[in-house]
Amino acid sequence: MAETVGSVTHAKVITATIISLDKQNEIKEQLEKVLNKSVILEVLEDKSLIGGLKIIVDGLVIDKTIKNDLEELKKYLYSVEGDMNGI
Amino acid sequence: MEFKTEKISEQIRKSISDFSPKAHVFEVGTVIALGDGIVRVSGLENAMSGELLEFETGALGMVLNLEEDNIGVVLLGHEDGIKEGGIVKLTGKMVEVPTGDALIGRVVNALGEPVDNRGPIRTNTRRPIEREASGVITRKEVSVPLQTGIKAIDSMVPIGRGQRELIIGDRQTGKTAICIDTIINQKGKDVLCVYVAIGQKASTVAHIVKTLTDFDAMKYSCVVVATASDTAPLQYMAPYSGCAIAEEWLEQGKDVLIVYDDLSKHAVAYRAMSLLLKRPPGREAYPGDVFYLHSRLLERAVRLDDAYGGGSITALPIIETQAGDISYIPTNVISITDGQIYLEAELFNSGIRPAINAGLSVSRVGGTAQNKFMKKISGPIRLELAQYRELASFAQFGSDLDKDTLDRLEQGKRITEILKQPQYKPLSAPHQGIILYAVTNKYLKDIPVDKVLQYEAQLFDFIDLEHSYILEDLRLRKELTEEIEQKLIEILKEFGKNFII
Repeated sequence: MAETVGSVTHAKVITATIISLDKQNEIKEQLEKVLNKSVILEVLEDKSLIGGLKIIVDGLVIDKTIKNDLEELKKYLYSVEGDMNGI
Repeated sequence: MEFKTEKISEQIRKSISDFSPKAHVFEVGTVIALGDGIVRVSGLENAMSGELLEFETGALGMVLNLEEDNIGVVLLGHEDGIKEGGIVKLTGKMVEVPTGDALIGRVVNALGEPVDNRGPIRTNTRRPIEREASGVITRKEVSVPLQTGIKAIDSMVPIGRGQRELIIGDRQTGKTAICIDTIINQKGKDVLCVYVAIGQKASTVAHIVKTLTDFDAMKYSCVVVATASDTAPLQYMAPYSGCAIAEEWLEQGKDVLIVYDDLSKHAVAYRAMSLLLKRPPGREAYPGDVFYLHSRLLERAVRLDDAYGGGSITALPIIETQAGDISYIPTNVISITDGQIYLEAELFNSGIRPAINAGLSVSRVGGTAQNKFMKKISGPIRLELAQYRELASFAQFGSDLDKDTLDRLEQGKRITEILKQPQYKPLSAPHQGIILYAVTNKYLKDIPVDKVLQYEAQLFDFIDLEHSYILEDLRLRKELTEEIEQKLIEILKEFGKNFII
């Protein structure tokens, strides 16, 4: 896959609301620091995420969105630990 | 029961506050190709063989091929909605199923999800479906009988707890019937049962579940289903899932009976999956490891030493042959199991049901897994039947034979007749012992062959009503002492006098 060619990698940043250019650059710098490569950012908007941030880069997904938290909560409530016993 | 809304919302609030979202970082790969239930995924360098993956649609897949630049994943759900370029997440778990007593009486699919519309399975224990079989040291010799309730089997090819006995025959010869009768006969015997249906029609499985329910067998059984409409990977996994469920009880020290119906369809599903994964085909187009497919499954049937709980799993795999031909897969499974029960269409069609060929059927555990009285009583049966078979071709000569030959022929006919048994009517060991004693000691010599089964039915009625103590004696002592034998002879003489044809 053409994500990582040499030491340049492509990252997708998806947010629920549009973020400012400053914020975008901040994210780009942080990623470059962690991955030790130069990063080309692609910023997308997806209202269904409700809030928070989702970054897809180098075979990793960092998902800190409200949508994801709600999905996890739903799974938890259906499972044995969270289940409402006796009701 | 009053539902207080405050109580419910309080519970929900508590559950929510107890919850804290876990992982936010997932490893992902992308779908590069999809077709025929196989997905090729790129990335995911840390994927383990046999690991469970999750697609964007929520469908699950299992990693089966790890190649240099991609992974071969078999889909365990529907292809619908999975796009090329879509994201695939690692779950970090091997394929597992829920286990435990919550599964008793339930019907589940190969992933352990309930399919009987009776709510979710509430259990805390889960087990990976693949596991190494117990080692040599942890095992103990098979010595406790598993009563099938079928005269022909318990006398001539007895099965012990912890044994693997193959049930092999053409279609419609009564293979499933033997297994269902065995399950029904485990009532009150402290044996839990697992019935694994692989590649069968959903209507057939529904009928089996209904039969088991009618005979109260679901109170100690669990059914694992992968019907013909389920994908090949699910049919492939079903026996292993069933075995994992059984192993949970095994490790609690319990005895479990597991029926695999049938492994021929299992091998076919595995072949379909392997060919689509581009694994090289071997004999009959089966992949090279089709022996290992069944050997690792059947080796998990075990009798454990007391130090490890003393539990056991007895396996009854079923194989269907085509026109009596023992081809590749049947040969494989015969060499893995501790014996086979061979059912023949000719016997079935001539009215001998169960259609067991006593000559070809064998139990390599044999007498070690029989009660003393059954062992003593059924000793002569096999021999007399073998002699009968040899002489049967002379039967056409009728009166031209010497007395000895005629006697043997008559005895053989009666033994054959007495070994017939209707479906869903398993007999207890004492009952079997009594009627077989009667036959081998020539108490049926003067009864016409077509009245033999009537004799048996009336004898049982007579004993159940007036002499049931002898059944208790045999059941407790498990041995034919002089005392019991004397009483039995008296009973048989008394009955013989009063038996009216």
